[in-house]
Amino acid sequence: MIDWKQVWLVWRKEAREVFRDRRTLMVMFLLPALLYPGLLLLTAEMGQAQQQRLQTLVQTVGIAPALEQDVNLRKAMKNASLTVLVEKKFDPKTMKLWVGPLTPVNGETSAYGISFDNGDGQARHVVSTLRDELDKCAAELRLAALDKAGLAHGILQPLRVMEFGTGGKEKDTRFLAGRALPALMLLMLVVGCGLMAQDCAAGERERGTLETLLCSPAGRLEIVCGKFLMVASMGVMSGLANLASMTLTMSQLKVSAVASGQTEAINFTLPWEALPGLLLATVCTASLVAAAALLLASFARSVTEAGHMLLPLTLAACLPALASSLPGINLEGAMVTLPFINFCLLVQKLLLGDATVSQVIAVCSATLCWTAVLLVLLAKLWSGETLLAPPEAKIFNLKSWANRAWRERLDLDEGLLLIFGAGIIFFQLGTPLQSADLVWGLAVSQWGFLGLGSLLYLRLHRVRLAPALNLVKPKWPLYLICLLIAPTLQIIGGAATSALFGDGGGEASKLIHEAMMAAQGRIGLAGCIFLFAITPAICEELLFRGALLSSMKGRMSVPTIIFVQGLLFGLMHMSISRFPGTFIAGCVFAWLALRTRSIFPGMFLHAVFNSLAVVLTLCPPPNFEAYVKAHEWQLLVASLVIFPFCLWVIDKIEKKEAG
Amino acid sequence: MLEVRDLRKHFSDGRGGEVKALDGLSFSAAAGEALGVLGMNGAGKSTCLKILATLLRPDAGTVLLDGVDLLAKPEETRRLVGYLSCSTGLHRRLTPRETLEFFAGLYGLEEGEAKRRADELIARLGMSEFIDRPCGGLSTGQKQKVGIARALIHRPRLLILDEATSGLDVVARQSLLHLVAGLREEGRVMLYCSHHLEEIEAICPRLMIIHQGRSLGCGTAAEVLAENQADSLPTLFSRLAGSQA
Repeated sequence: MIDWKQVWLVWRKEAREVFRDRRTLMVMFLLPALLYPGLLLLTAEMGQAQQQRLQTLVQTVGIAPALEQDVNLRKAMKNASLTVLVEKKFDPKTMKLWVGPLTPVNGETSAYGISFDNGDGQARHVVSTLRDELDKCAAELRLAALDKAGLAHGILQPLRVMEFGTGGKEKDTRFLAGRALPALMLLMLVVGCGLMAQDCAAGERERGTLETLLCSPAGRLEIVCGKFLMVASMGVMSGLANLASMTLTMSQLKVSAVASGQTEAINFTLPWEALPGLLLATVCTASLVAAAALLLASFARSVTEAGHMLLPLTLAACLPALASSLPGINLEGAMVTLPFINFCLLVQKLLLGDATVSQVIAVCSATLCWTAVLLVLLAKLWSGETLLAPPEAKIFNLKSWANRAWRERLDLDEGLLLIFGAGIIFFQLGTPLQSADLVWGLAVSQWGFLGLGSLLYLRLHRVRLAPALNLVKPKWPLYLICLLIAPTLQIIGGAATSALFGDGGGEASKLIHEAMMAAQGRIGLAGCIFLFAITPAICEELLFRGALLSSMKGRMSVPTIIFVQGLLFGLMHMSISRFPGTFIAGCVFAWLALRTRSIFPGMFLHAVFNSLAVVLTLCPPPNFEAYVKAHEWQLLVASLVIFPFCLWVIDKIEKKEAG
Repeated sequence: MLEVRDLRKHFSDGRGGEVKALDGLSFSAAAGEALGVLGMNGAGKSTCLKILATLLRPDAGTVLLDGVDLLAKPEETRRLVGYLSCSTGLHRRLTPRETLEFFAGLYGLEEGEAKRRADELIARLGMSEFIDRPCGGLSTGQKQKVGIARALIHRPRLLILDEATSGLDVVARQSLLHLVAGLREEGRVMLYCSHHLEEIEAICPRLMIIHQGRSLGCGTAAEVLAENQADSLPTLFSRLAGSQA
C-alpha cells in the first residue's frame, strides 16, 4: 500500500523547491504567458505595417522602348501605383523589374516577359502585384472579345464551383487551431515536465541530495509518486497556461482585426463545452509526459545530460502532432491507443465540437495505461542501485583502445553504437543501393553492412567471435521444433498486424511482393529464397542475436533484453505496418538465443520464417489466400496453442541439458 | 550493539569484470561507542557505510543492530539509522528548519514532536542565526551542522558520519569535532569515517582499518598497531600504500 502522507511530503518539498526557483518558473509560465502571444502579436503587427508600407512605397519598374505606348501595360502599372522608367535592359540598381515584349502566339494580343531579381522579396511582391493587374486587363479584353463576337460570357467558364463551409468562418479557424494548438500544448508539456524532471531526478543526484532522501524511511514508490505528481502538475499548469495564453492572443488578434475592418479574418473562441474534455486530456497526457521525462532523467548523471536525453522526447511528442494533421488520420482503431497522436486528434475534435464522451474516455484510459507502464518501470529503476551509482562515462583514448586485451563480449554502449550505426548505414546507403539494383543492393547491404560489418566491428573491438556470437552447436531436436514454430509465428504476427492496422499492412506487403516478383525473373525461386530469406537470417542474427545480445547479457534483465531486442529488430525494418510482426519475431529469436545459448536455432527459425513468406508470396498453393481467409480464427487458435507448447518443449530440453 | 558479519559487495567494472569493494568485512561496536573507520581511497569505507545506511544491498553478510537485521526490511530499519554523507545532501532552496521538518515527517514524527525535536537540535547545534536562510546560501560549516541535525532528527540508534569535516577550515573543524564528540548519547552507536588520523584519535576510543574490502583490525589504536606489527598509524598506511602500488 502506498503511504500517501509520504507522497504528499515529497510533493510539497518539490513544490517548495520549484516555486522558489524563479528561472524555472519564468521558462514555464512567463514564456507562454508573455513571450509567445507577444511574438505573435508583434509578427501580426509587423505584417500589417509592411503591407501598408508596400502599398505606399514608390516602386520603379523598367519597360522596353517597344512597350512605351502599350495601353494595357501602362494601365496595369498605373493601377499598381508603379513608376515607369523606359530602359533597353534590366538594371537592378535603378528598377525592381523590367518588362520586355515577347512574340505573341496562338492569336494572343500581346505577350510580356518580366525580368526581376528572384532573390529579392520586394521585387517578387511587385511582380505579383503587376501580374494581378495584367490578369485583370486580360479578363477585360477577353470579355470585350466575347461581346464583340456576340458570345455569352459563360463560354469561357462553363462550370462554376463554390464552397460552403457549414460551420462558418469560426469552424475554419477552429480547424486551423486544431492543427497548431495540440502541437504547442505538447511542446509546453514536454518543456514544463522536462525542466522539472531534470531537477527532480538528475538534479537531486548531482547535488548529492538523492542519498539523503533514499536513506529515509520513505518508500521508493512513495518518492517516485511524489516526484511524478509534482512533475505532472507543473506540466499541466504549463500546458494550461499555454492554452489560456493562446486563447487570449487569438481574442486580441480578433479585436485588432475588427478594428482594422477585417471582421471575417479571425474568429476564434475556445468552445466552453470542450473545456472539461480538454482539461482531462491535458492532465492525462501531462501524466504520460511526466512519467517519460522522469524515467529518462533518472538515467542521467547530471542535469545537462538529462537535458540532452530529453531532446528526443520533445521530438517524439511533436512528430505525432504533425502526423495527426495528415488527411485520413482519424481518432479510431489503433490511433486511440497511440500516445500523443491520440491527444492531438482528440483536441482537434474537441475544438470542432465533434468529440464524443466515449472518445475522451478511450483516449484518457489509453494514455493512463501507458503512464502506468512507465511508472512501474520508474519504480523498478528507483528500487535498484543503478540510480545511485550510474556507470561512469568512458573516456576514449586511442592508444589504450588499440592496446586493449581480447574480450568475450562487447560493452553495452558499444553494442548500442553498433546497432544504431548499422541502422544509419543500412538506411542511408543500403536503401539507395537497393533502389538502384534490388538484387545486388540487398546482397551488399545485408552481407556488407550487417553481416561482415558486425564481424569487423567485433574484431576491431578485440572481441573473440565464438563466445560473443554464441557459436555453439545446439541439440538437433531444436531444429525440428523451429520448423513447427515458424508458421505459427507467421500467423500470430499477421494477426497482430491486422488487429492494429486492419488492411493498412497490405501496402507494405504489396511492395515486397512486387520486389520479389521482379527479382524472381532474374535469379529464380532458389535465388530469391537465398537473397530474401537465408541472407537476412544469417546477417541480422549475427548483428542482433550475436553482437548486440552479447553486449546486453548480464547488464539487463532477461525480459528487458527480449523487449529491447524485439523493439530494435522491429524498428530496423523501417515499416510501421510490419512492426507488430517483426517485433514479435525479434522477441522470439532473442528468447531462443538466450535459452539455447546458441545463435543457430534462432538463425534457422529466422531462415524458415522468411522462406515461408518468400515461397507463399512467389508460388502460393492454389486457393491459398481463400483458405487462409476462411480459416483465419482456427489457424490463429491453433498457433496460439502450438507456439507456447513449442517454447515449453525447448525450455524442457534446455533444462534437461543443464541438469 | 552493532554487529557486521562477513559483508561482501562486488561491483561490475563495466567491462564484464567485477570489482570486490567488500570482501568479507566483519566488525562490531557496542552501544554508546564511537568507532572510527579508516582506510585509503577505494578501500571500501563508503561502500560499507552505504550498506549500513541501506542505500546499497550487500551480496552476502548480515548487519544486526540491537539484534534487528538491518538488511531484511530496509524501509523499516531506516528509522534506526542516521546517515550524513560527505556531500551533506541538503536541498539548497529549503531552509534548515524546513529541511528538519521535512525529514521529521518522512521519519514519521508527528508535527508537534517534529517541531520540538527541531527546536532542540537548533539550540544544541547553535543553528538559530541561520535557521530560516536557504541552505544553498550557508557556509560549509553551517551546512554540516544542518546535515548532522537532519541525521539526528529521529533519534537514530546508529549514526553514520562519512567525512563530516571535509571542506571545513581549522576553526569550523574543531568546533564540529567538539560537537560530534558529544553525540554518543542515549546508547547510540556512532561510526565516524575520516581520512584524518588525528580526528579519529580525538573522537573515537576504538578504530577499524579497512583495506581492500577487509578489516585489518578493530580495537584501540595500540591493539590495531600491534595486530599489524606497526609502530604508528602513518607507518602502517605507508606500508599499505606500498603493498597496493
